[in-house]
Amino acid sequence: MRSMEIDRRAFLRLLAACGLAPAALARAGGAPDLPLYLAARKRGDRYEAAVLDARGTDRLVVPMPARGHSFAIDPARGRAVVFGRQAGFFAVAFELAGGAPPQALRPAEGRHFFGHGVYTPDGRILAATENDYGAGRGVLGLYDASPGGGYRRLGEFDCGGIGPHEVVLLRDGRTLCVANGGILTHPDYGKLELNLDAMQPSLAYVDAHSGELVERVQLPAGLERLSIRHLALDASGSVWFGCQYTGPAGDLPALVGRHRRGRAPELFAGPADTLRGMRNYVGSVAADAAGAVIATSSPVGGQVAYWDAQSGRCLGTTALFDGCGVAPHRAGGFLLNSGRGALGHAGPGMPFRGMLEASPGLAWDNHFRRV
Amino acid sequence: MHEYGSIKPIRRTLAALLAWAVAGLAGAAQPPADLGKRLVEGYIAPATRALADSGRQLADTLQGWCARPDEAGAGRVRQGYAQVVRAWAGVEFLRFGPLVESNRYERIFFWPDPRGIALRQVQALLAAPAAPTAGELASRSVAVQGLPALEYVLYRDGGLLAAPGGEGFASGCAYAAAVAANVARVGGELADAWAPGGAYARHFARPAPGDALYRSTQEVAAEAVKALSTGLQYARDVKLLPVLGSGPDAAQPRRAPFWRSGQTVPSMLAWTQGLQAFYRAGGYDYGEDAWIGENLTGELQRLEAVFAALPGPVEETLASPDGHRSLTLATLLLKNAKALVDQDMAPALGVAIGFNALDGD
Repeated sequence: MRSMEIDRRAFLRLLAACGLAPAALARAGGAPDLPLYLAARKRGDRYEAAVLDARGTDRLVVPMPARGHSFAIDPARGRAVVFGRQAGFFAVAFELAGGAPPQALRPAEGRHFFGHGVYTPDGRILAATENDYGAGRGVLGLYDASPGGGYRRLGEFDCGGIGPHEVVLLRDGRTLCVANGGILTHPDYGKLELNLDAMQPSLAYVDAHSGELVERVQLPAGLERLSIRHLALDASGSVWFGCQYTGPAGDLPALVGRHRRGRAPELFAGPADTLRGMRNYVGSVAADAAGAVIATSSPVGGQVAYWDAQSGRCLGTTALFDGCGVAPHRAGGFLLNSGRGALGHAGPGMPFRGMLEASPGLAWDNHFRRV
Repeated sequence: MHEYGSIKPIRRTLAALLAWAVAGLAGAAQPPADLGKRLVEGYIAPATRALADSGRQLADTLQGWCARPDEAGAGRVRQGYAQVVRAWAGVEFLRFGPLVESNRYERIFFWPDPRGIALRQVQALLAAPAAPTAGELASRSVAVQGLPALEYVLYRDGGLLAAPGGEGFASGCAYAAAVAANVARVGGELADAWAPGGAYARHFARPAPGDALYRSTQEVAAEAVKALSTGLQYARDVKLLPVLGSGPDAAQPRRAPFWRSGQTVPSMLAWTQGLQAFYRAGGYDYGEDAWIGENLTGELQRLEAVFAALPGPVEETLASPDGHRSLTLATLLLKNAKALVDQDMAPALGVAIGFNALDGD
């Protein structure tokens, strides 16, 4: 842990010295061109979180000590938190407009971040998926996001499973839905799966006020190795989930599903070629601006697939090498980005239109989020 | 924009779109057309068969020794265990297909186990009145079915080898024999699937557009490259780095695989030899870029020399500055070898591995 401590100090100096460029923002001319997008990336040897406009132009860059993953976003207060990718021992809170200096967050002793989190709508609490790795259980770490709260860790909720990954807030504003991937990991061994024989992935609904586990849903028997990882809400408020299969490559189970509270989860396989093209892996899930189309990306298969949120029918695919980040575009369809630095606009029946060319030394990381 | 903001939006030209479409294929050499067949016949089939055979032999040895626990038999048990560990080292990096089906990997090698699950379960099992038979074992927790469990039973303080014929010996030894038989059984399943013409080897050796598993030689090559890359990473990140600490004083030898039996370094040596043999079996031809193969085999040979020069148990190796340095050197060689596989070998064979695809989340 000592080397991590040294890294952290260097990182804090970096944050203080060259974190943000509010002056540059001001030069860019007043209010940012909304909507804004967030993505983590690797640029040369640097790991950064970037605030982008809809054309993929940088608005703000926040340095990170290591690879980032996804964001908790509080649009009402113009702020966000980027989480370190699992096993993440850092998170950074920052203002989207770059006013105040960014602030580093740490998980509690014996916990690390899994890479996702959400704010409550009142902006008072930040909840992050975390690993209580000594006990081998997943928790939601709770942080004081109120003014002057300084993101002090307030405590944690149990999230009813192992390996919680993405968490989203339902439309009721108080129920959190957690994708418990079911995979036990320990930071001594990175992301190595330690319980492939005994996985129990689930979707867990947790009351953000009380911490009560109000519903827990599992996939049908025989799908224990189907790790539920990523989530998005459609227009009706149903939860869409994307999975990663840890069993034999030839099995090709359906990877995309929908869950409506109180019902059994539904899985959608899509056409055989599309399913095969996902290579047992979904890297991120997003709903379009209307909540009518769901995009699921597979960087392993180099393919983004689109799904009709009402019928579950597959609406087509976009081929994009190492494409992973998907975010809704206001004009319909999605912004996609890739580990090769490409960024563009695509959707069902909409060919990929590049905005940023693939570029050596630039890799967009896992998630792409619209503010 | 500010100092990092030098990305320039491009015009939406056809050229740019084409560049996306063919990225990763330009300039690719072809892997040998019969790559899968070469790998099966030249390496995977014999390696998996050797695992099954060594497991069977150890089970037989243990059965004899359980009935008559003499010193000579104990020597044979030690040899037999070391043999299985070495055979496993030659198979464990083939972590795709048959080895990930039916939890076979975990049945043979439930490791690492930072929370000590296997230890607790094996202790509970040893405290029970009767040991499970080999047949019963398959339905128990995978943590009590494989080599780490067997090592604990045989090599722990006061274990079967230290106190042959002592209290609880008969049932403990029966359990040990059952574990060895289980390893032989799982190894046999692997060997059957990988035998030339076997259920999995068929697909791997004869990729075809309509095949359910491998549609092209390129996909077979991708599987082989991934096995090399993840094998090299696993050896460094999981086996060595957690053990090394910041120096001899901070080393944690008990995190090493097979530390109880003294097989840590021998298993790493066998692993290195196996990985090289797997690589050689592919018969990769880089054309003008022959340096790729030369550099990769050079790194692996240096790695082999490092392990071959380390005598004795891993605890002693780690406690000495020279030994610690040697294992640190091994981590650097592993890192270099992985970089060659990812950055040079893979693209040369037309296998593109993405930033996100390589290390997903």
